[in-house]
Amino acid sequence: MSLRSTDLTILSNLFKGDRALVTEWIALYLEEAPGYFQRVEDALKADDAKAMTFAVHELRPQAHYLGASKLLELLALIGGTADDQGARACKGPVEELLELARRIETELREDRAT
Amino acid sequence: MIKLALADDQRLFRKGLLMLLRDMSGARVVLECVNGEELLQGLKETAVDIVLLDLEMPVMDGVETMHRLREEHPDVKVIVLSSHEGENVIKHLMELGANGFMQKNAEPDEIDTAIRSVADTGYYFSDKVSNAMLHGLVKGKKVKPTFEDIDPLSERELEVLRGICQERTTAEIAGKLFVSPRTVEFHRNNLLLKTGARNSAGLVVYAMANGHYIPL
Repeated sequence: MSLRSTDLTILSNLFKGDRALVTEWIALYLEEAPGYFQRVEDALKADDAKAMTFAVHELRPQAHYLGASKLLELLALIGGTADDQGARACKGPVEELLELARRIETELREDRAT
Repeated sequence: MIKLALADDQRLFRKGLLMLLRDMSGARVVLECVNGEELLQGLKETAVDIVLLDLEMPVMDGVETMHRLREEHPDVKVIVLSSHEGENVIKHLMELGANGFMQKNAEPDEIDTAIRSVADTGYYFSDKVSNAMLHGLVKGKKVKPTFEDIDPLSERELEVLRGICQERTTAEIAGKLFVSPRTVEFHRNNLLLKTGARNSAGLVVYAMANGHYIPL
């Protein structure tokens, strides 16, 4: 059994158990999130540490709502590394982040389908 | 009814917050904007009590927006929303006149508390904000000197000041001191004049800086 990358109980608690709101938020996330992760990738390509730090900061609330602890860890790591060592030093973690983002997206789409 | 404005360029966050606030009794979002310029334009036609303001927005960011709000809409209260949590950021925002600060991953209960606290008392200080200010004071960092040499505060003024620091409403302070709410407001205005603070948040900073209040 594969481990989940998200824990939707946090989102459910946030919206006081209202499944319609949870579904609405997830739909919004699936629509908007690719843009956020693209900005991280663009910042890496442009070697822009400031843009990278900004992009990961923006993702943190969403990671929190999804209960995506690994995502939160990576965002913190990337933010700190970009600040200290520049964007290029984040190549490995960013690749891991993007892979995780794809897994989260798949997971959420599968949840919607069931 | 507390009338709220949201200003945040992140659609996902903004819509999520809107969804959270749908359920909040006694409050309603009447204005939704993607940057400070849009907010200021919207405020010309829509009366708002509290703005939930993101710091980092294109066109006009949160800091510039706050400056403009203080000039053009001094009665509108501002709760800053940010993913940042550094002490210097928080202190800077309070010095700019923010009535409260909240992180973007705040729980619904905190959001509710912050809005109601700002509506009732004029400010909201989470533990993080109180700690940021205390930490800065203890380390001897400069708290912006908005406080000039002042007349000593009267005993009654100190009592009102401590009530403000304890997040009591005007009515609660009045009840505790056996005076009318109007008298409390009179003393509050004197406190603002004497200390040079611009709002209740500034009074709290003054009180902590001068040892009149130490949060538990």
